[in-house]
Amino acid sequence: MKNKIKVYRAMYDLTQQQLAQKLGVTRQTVVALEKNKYNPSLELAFKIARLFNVSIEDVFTYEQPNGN
Amino acid sequence: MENKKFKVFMVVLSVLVAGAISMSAVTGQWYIGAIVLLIAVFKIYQVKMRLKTKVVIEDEMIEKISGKAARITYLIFGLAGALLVLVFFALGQNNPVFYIVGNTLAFAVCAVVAVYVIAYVYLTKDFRGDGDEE
Repeated sequence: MKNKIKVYRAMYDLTQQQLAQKLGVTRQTVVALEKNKYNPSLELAFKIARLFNVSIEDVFTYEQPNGN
Repeated sequence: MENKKFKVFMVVLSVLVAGAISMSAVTGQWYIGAIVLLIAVFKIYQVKMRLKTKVVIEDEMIEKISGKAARITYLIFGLAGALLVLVFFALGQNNPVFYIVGNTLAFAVCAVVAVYVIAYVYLTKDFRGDGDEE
């Protein structure tokens, strides 16, 4: 799974700490999300999408392991 | 910053509790370790409650990692413990001290497995069901 959190965060001029506070998570989680090292829960994914006023598909892109 | 302070607090507290328990084991005064442990648990609860309103200390990622770490710990302790029990029982044929150690370890491993099973059954109770398929 890939995401555009970093892009949207830049668009909204937020720091990682500010975004973490708005989402109710730690800054480490935001860092891991931006590096595509952690797949968020559906709840957190919805929170992120709603915060940026976009749909989940706009933020997250699902890629199958074999690349299809 | 609060997160860093909390981490330092946890490390210091862990060292103090470990020291107190070691001291009580060496001196045979069990109540020292028990009292320090109870104070530490109360202090962690107090600090967590105070920080909860200011910063996020735990979130879903930390919970997930903690779960994985606990599972790995359980597997390692269970497997290594079971193997060590066999070794101690074998050594116990010549020296009864090894037999006692092996027995204690066997009970400890069984207790950990029992707690794991109880916790697993409790945590999955909402996911069970007969289903609606024929």
